Amino acid sequence: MTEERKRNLKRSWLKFGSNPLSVLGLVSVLLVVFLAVFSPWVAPHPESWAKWVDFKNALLAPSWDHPFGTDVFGRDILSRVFFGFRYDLLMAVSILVLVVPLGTVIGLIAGYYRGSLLDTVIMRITDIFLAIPSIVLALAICAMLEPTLFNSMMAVSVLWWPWYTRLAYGIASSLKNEYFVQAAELTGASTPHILFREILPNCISPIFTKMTLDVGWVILIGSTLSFVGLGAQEPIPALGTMVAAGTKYMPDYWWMTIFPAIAIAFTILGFNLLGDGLRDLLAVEEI
Amino acid sequence: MSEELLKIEGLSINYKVYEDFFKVVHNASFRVGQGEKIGLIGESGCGKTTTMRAIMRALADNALITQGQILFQGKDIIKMSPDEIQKIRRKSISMIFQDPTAALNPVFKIGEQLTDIIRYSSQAAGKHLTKEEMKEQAVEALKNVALPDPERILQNYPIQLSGGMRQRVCIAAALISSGDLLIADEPGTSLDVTIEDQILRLLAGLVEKRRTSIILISHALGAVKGMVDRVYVMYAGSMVEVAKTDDLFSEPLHPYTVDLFKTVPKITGGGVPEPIPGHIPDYLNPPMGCRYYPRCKHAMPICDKEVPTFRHQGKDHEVACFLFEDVN
Repeated sequence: MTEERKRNLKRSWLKFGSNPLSVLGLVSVLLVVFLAVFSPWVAPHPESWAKWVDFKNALLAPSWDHPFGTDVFGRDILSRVFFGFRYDLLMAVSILVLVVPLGTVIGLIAGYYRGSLLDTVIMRITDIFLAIPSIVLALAICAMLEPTLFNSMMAVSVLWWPWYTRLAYGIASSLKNEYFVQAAELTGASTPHILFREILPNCISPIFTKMTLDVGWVILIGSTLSFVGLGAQEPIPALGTMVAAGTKYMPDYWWMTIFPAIAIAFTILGFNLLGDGLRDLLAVEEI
Repeated sequence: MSEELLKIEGLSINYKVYEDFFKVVHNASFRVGQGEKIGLIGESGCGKTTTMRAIMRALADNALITQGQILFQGKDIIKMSPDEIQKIRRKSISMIFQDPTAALNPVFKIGEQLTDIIRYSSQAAGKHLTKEEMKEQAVEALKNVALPDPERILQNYPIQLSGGMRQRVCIAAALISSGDLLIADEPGTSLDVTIEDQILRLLAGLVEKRRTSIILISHALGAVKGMVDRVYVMYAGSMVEVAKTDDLFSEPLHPYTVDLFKTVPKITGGGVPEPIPGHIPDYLNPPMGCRYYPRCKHAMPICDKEVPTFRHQGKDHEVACFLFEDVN
């Protein structure tokens, strides 16, 4: 049995590895995660992460000692980028951990009871959330609340669950008419059994793929909120906040903006490539 | 006649379609004794499956039961609460689908799916089994349906099995939870002839051993003839004739039954079988009287106006046709 699982894993790995872009995505993601987790140890100037002033070294151009340069307070930008990964990943992961189960379960229920009043109520509420442009909604919520990292996470969560509801709804409502679901009903399976043991396992691969792709988008939207000043606040080194702080000094001290921006792009690209790779992998496995 | 297990009386089922109703099942009556083997024959689209689904309370959302009752062990299934019906599904009635190859969840191994069913049906019977006992039962169930190497099949995903094997897995699953009644809705459709024969024998054997009643729906009249005690002939949603198997095949009375038997190709050759002219009536506006009237060779003026009731013709032989007088 373990023998067979090992073989399957190996086969999946070979399939995944045959696409260099997917591997590139995986490597970037692993790198970002590594830097985020171990930032206090790998950052060249770990003291730069937050409240630290060293005006002697302020606004230094990129050099060997400060590869990404320093900002107005003399903090090392490279170190701050490493810490920034931390906050951005934390944001993405906590949002997804909160949103994915919630949205999926709501969608499963609505899909399974398709055509009922429950379905209509749930899906119309979902549609209302989807109808408002997500960034506008997030800005509105953040503007109402105190601008903190936590509140911006809440705002993004509120606008993110409907996508998972839609996804799970679509799958559940088509699976509901499949024979194996009907057969389960006719052998007297309970509703939770049908929802979580018959339908949910069939939705896992698209949801998983969407999650991976979404990490990038959540980071992007989180950074956008930070950039307009509604997310994480100085001195927390969120990447969006750093980009925003640097814009005042563009273009003379370009490294303050450009390097955190590249870090954001790198992270998003990595997660998207990985997500694409996983999608291909799971899609073929499904048949 | 043995003790009654299931009794359907005057059942009518309509399907709601845009602005109107498909009046499919019309005043159908049906009786199954304890441990009895019943055959249900009739052409496609005449309401056989709809009737069976009504017994399981598994009708489509747009189906409406307009009248009649379905008494299972004396209780009306139509009026049961969802809990009661779930209990019945778990341990009393089970159904083999027309296309059971799709009845297996593609993402679980056969073993996991069978154990789920075993767990549910044993819980409903008030027993708690250990993992080993459940596995033993699963192996046993697969052995019962003549699947080779059941241990390996338990570890397989549905995709790894052939159509016939999957069908046998489904039959095994249906047999696990069938306490009193097994509804086999064309169980042989995707099996080859030799396996079909095996499966039917197997069903007959198991049914006899456990005193389970069975309703066999089939287009293979030969299989029906060889296996069941009594046969119901259904046409356009109504029962037109019922008799002991031998009586029915040796002496069919209702014009539809007679015509139906003529359509069967003979293995001895002997010319092209004779089809029944016309087709099943339009369920939106079915004939007022006998539903077979437009296709019947013996049609009389009265057939158009009144619905014939069952007339007794000898022991256990009843026919719904104006050609016959009640001899009782």
